Amino acid sequence: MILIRGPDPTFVEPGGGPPAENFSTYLETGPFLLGSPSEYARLKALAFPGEGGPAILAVDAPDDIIDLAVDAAFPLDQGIVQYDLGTGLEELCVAWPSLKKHVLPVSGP
Amino acid sequence: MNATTSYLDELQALLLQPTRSIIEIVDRLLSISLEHHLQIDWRENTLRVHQGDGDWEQLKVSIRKSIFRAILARLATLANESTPNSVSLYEGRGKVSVSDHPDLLIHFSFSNSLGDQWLELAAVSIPIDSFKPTSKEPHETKTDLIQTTA
Repeated sequence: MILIRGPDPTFVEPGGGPPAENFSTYLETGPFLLGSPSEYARLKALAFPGEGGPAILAVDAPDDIIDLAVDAAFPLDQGIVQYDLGTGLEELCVAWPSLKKHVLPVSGP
Repeated sequence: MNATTSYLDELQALLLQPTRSIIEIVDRLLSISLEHHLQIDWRENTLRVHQGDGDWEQLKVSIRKSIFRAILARLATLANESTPNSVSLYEGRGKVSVSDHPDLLIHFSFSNSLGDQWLELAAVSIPIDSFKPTSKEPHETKTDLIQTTA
């Protein structure tokens, strides 16, 4: 879904609830201070067993869009690129169709 | 400045106008809690804090939802580094230690779903021989390629 349509701040997780509002990513090199992408994907798949299993979506985002997401709370040296409305999410959504992307399989859960 | 003013001032400086990274905020929040033996209840934009037999004090904390969720995620990661699989992405009850305070431990419970975010934590004393420091991961450098979970 994300691969084709891109980040969706109005996305609602299976089972209902409020919209996602934002889109969280890691730099490929890390560090992975909130857990590794593969581990996070496995835990996410456990929480949503009807969603096709764990996977990692890799996206080649332009530096100028990444820079919009950088602030004091989310400096790049900590590996997290946090796109919120007003901090790069809109620009990432617009650029999404032209970005290089691929899905990395994750074993498990 | 009395003790109550001191820890409230420290929490205000840390959270009201955050100028630190998520990792630094969590490290400092744990340190303040341990230094002052605090109990904290943080949900939505309200953080309540309690020390010993004192009254609960309240702070209004208006930070971005993504920052609060990342703080909760970092605490969950620290708990799982200390005790593997002890908490899930979205909720749980865990404990973390900080190397500067080997005689104390933070017990916490949290919810970090899209619709419900809260944190309760308390600093408690532990026997010195059961201390296990929390490991720190190295910080690395930027590249253009990013990835996320699907």
